[in-house]
Amino acid sequence: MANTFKTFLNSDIATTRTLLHEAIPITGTIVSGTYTSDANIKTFSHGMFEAVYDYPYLSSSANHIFDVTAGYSAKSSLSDSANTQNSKKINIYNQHAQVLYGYDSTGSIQQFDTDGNINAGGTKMKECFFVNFSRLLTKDEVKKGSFRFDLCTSGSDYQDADARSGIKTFGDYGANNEYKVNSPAGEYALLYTASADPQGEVMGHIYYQAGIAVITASFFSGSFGDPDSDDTGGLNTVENRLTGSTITELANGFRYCIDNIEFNNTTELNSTIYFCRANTQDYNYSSNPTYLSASKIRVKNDNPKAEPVSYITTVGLYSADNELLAVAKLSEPLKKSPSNELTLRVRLDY
Amino acid sequence: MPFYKFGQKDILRNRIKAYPDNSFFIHAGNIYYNNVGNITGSFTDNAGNIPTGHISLYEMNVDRDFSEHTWDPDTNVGVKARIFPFITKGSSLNSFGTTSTTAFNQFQYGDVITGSYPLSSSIIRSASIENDTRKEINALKNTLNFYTPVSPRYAYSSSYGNKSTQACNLISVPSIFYGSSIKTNSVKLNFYISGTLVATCEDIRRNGELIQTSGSAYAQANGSGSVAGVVLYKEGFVLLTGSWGLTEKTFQFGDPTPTEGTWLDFAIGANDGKSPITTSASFSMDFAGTNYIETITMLADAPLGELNYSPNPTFVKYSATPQTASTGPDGYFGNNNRPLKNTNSSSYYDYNEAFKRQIFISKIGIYDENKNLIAVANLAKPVKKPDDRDFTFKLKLDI
Repeated sequence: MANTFKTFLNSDIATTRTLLHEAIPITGTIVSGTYTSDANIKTFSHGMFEAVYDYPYLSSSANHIFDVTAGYSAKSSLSDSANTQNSKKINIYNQHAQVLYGYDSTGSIQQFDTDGNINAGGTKMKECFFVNFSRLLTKDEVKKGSFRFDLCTSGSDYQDADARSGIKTFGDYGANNEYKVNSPAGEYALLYTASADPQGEVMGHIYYQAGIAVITASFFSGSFGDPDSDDTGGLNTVENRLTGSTITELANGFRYCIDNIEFNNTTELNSTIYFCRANTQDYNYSSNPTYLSASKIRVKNDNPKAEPVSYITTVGLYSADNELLAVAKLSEPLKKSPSNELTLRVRLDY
Repeated sequence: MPFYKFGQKDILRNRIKAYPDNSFFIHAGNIYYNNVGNITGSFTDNAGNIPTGHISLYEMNVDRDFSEHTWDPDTNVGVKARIFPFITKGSSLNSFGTTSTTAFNQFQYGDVITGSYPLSSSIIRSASIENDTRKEINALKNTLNFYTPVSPRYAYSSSYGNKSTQACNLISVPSIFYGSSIKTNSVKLNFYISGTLVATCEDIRRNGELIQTSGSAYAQANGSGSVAGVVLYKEGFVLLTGSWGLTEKTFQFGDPTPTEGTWLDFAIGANDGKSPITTSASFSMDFAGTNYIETITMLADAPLGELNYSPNPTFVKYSATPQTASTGPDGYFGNNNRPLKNTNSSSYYDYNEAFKRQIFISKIGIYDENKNLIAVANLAKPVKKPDDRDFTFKLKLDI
């Protein structure tokens, strides 16, 4: 129970924001081939995406790590009503594009722009793979400049040891200082194949707050496809697969090519720091019932000339109406007397 | 899109009280929680990377080989093979709870402080022989005395014994296992020798007293109906003081010299570092937790004669000619000559049903007082709402 209130001045209150990060490595073997019968891969009857877990998903220990899907724009040269799941692939592309890239002035969904400069026109990514990372992993956002993706440019036959080849690393190199803000979903950066200037080719985008990586299908230059697929003939380029395979088969092929994914996530910790100042004449007396013994201050040991002493154990933060809002406990009581002054730093995280 | 305001009787607040069962089995220094052993992974023998009998806080790093992790935060070199948190030391002085103050002070501003996953938790046994030091039990002095009106057996010092000096066996149960409190009349302790039940005690009086209710003839002759200890339900402690013999034969209970088993030996090997322990002894501790789930139930009405229009573009008939709307300083005016699409289907072949207003409700949005969308309830399948019908949708939200 407080017996003395002090009002905070503006200079007594400071706000801070701390960024807490986690390093998230996802090795390719987890997403393809580790578990027999792909027990950590969940497919759905709607066939629009598949979910990847870090452990067989029927186990309670499993965590969802990302969803993977593929699609193309209705304006893509590959788009054809005769294609397998043509409308679903267009819907998948449109759904991601409208959320991540928005609409143009005519109300049409914008296509993913390779260099992120929409007004300048330029090349569009019309056929894409989408990796939606779980919120469990991305938390508030992916840390800028930390995203790295090792992906094979070629890979189709699971039985053929040479089928996976041409590993390329791409990442959001330099995004610490330079990223795009023209997305309705927040900030994003381009995924380059090299860190040095020139930064190589743009292979896609990483949307930090949404936790989505968009990778252009043109990344795959060699054979591509579901490793369990029997079709190992000549029509196994990514273009052929985009038109002739289901989304699930495309996702299987994409997973097979993943060698490693690595990024750091970010959690924002907002804090308010209250500097509680106990000046020389403040808080030298206690309302604790045990403070007095026979109407004398116990800690003065019957010496009337001794200065009053109190021991601070708790700091209470009160509203303007003197309602107790928060309590800060000290790890050990602090001795307070007129001969000293204390500043207690109370941090409130939220 | 129309907005309706919830009435006073449209929002109900409830609290669901759930009692999840928990079971710990202790044998030869190993603990098993809910009878689950190690799960073998593809990369490690222990997929959860936590000992048995523990619960993983975030369940991170499942089936990962920690030996491959060589990354060094000082040099930023090496392979990252496991998920770990890190924070940069700054002026806000934030750090991890697992970083000591001394260690934190040794970091320079800008240094990376790392933590580790998984964080796990389990029961801990701490036993004290007579006149031994006992900081954990001393710390519970006020708490124990607080419950004296419930049962005199709680008293820290009374005619039933002085807990500051008598032999005690304290089992700490972290709150992640029981939630708000351990449920009264749910605690059951079993003492086994060679798989045979030797003694059982339960809190049958619902006042925290653990009473020996059954067991072998020898154990019952010594302590049937006696109080073996007390349970601190809200705090998650089981404090055993029963010192009568339960086993006719003698066994090793943390001491090379074999002794008769008593309730003071219960759960020996549960994270207490005791050895040697006879492999003949095993123990089980069962209890139910108490978990509160706050729920809000909202009743959203779709009134008769209302909600008969949809902003969905397919609600109006398709027309090859663009249907322009007039906009200007006076406002926005949709094309009022645009006919609505007839979605009424006929039961008869080759017959078009007469037009009748109807919509299909597929989702309900919940808005705050500033019309910010704060929640969306999706229906499993769209509900047809003709003009002459009204509906009430029951929306439940667990908080």
